[in-house]
Amino acid sequence: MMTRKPPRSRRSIVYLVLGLVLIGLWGIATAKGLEGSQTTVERIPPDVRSSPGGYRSFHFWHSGYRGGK
Amino acid sequence: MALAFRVDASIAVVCDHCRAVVVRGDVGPEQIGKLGTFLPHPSPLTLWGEGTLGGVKFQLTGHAQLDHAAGGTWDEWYARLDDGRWAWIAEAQGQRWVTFEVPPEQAGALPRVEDLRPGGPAMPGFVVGEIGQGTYRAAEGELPFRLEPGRAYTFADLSAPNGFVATIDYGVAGAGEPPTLYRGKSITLAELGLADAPIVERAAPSVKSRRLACPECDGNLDFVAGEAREALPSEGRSPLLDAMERVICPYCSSKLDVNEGALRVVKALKKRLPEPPIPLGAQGVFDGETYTVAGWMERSVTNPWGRFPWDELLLHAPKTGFRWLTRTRTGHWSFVEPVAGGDVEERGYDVRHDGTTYRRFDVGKAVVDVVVGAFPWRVERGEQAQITDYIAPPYALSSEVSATEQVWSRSTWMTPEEIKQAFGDTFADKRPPGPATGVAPNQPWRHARAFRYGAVLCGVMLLLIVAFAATIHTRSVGKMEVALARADSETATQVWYSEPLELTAGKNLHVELTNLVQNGWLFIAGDFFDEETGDTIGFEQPLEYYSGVEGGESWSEGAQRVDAWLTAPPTGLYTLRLEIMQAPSNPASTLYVSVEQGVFRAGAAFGLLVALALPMVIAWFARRKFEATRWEDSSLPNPYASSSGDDD
Repeated sequence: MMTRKPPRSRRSIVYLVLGLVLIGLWGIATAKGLEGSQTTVERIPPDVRSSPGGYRSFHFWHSGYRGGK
Repeated sequence: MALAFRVDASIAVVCDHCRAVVVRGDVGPEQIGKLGTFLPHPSPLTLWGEGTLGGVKFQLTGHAQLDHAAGGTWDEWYARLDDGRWAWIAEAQGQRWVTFEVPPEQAGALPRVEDLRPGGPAMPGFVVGEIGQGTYRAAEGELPFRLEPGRAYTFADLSAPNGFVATIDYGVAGAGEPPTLYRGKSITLAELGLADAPIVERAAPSVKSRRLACPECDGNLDFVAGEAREALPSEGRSPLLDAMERVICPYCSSKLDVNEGALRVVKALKKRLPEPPIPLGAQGVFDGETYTVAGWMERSVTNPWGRFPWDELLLHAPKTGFRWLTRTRTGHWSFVEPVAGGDVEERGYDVRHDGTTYRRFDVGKAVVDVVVGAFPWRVERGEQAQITDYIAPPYALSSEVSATEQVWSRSTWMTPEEIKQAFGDTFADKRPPGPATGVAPNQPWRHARAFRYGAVLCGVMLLLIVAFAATIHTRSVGKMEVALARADSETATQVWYSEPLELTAGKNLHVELTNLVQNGWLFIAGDFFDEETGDTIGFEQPLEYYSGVEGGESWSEGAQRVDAWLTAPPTGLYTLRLEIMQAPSNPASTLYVSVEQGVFRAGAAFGLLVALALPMVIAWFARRKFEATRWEDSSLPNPYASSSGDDD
């Protein structure tokens, strides 16, 4: 008797591959303590970072937050 | 010419020269008539040839060929086993069955032929496949029974699961003979010890090497001999024509009967018939076997919703016999193979075959509307059969019941591209099969694997969630309070430093900031800096909360707590530095700071799990739509019809 393998659709295969990639990325991120909101590691001299109103205040002034309702 | 019995148990012997049948009589040999000539069915079985059956050697001592009352012929071989038993080996359309006579005392009471109906029960475990009549047309060698030329006898073929078969021989009608039961099973050449035996062609007065033409219109009927030209070495012979009973001329639609390779006009019509979807005589390869298109029928079922026609192409191959190729009017193709009725188990509304349950899909009375080409029975336009279709895509099982037999077949769905590929050059100068539309009864849904893949993905994800939840332990790094003074202006910045905090690599960092701000805002910029290396990682978070009552209803916006999630820093001692700006309207308050590491983010994990499952949900709806379209073509209620459709 003629037999026929179940059809394979490209979409299903993309779904499987993409899903496995997502799970893999999530697993690696969780195991290594990685977060999506990746923050950059900068090297800032102690005298700059210890001065009140130092480097960060520059950003505050020029692109900083304006709260309020 | 002197005739001699070579086997003691033989009852009849056939003369090789004059085809006379001589039987042992009380007073001596008695000639009871003469037989005709064999149709040359190619077979590896030969008279006086040997083989084995269940480890016991046998010799074929006799061979008979019978005419079926509905047209066509089949062969029976008589095998004498070394243990003294006789076996009957039947050959028809490339299949073989071996049966043994059951002594009357073991057979018990057999049903009367009048009580049998096709598809109905016959004996425990057996259903009736066919009730028919056969007439001996030719024989050779020695036979263990009294063979009477020209006398028709009635038989019922029965079928049971796993290839078991039985035949009840009712003898000559009106002769009052007690019925005889034969039981056995379908058998392969390998089981007969003949796997490598060559196929022997018998000499025949069949089609000679000449053009085969319609005797009415002189139209070229060479398609009937097509496979003889290419598949068999002896040119001019046509096992296809020899296997046929009727030819409908594709040019004038005249009805021709096949008689020992010659064509005789039964009815002249002089009417041009439509062309079949694949030319007669075309050769295609299916399952490794080359088949010739021998005939074409257009059949239809008419019900209250209209007339539903489809095409059936009869295929023939010398080794495997007959198969069908069907095409729906929406362009869907199926390759159809015969199935033993005994292997089909009825389960209420549905049936089961070879481990698969088939769902009842359609019932109706099929009528032959157009017929062209060669057929192994005396096909007629208007011929009817009650059909029931069951589906288990990509397969469908069909039952066709006529007055004398029930035939089961299994069809396998094929794409137009596969048909084009099977027939190769046939469509070189002809329009190939067009694309299929709609949904065929046995068409598989292409994305069925999405459910399996989705289940795998969700399963893996759940396992990982459980594993991480069990192995990731949250560690509190510190809980701090920052006293905030009232700000002089929106741009005034307050800076605060923590005590050194011990952070570990490989664990994410969670900072929770809480301030009971009311109708105001804060903006907090934080940095963890390593005093030894100067490495700094930072975050910025606005924190604002507004609430009030408007139109008698209370409202709120924002939150008094925000979270910052940071990637694990290298292991070391870090100082947390916060710079805070806030609305000048904020009163002096306390900012609560909590720092922890190794926090399993269950929300994100389950969010990903839902995202992974989402395509399955979409697939489920898509499949329902696909199935609803499939069942629109069924004469049975559509189980997938939407409820809104049921309202009217």
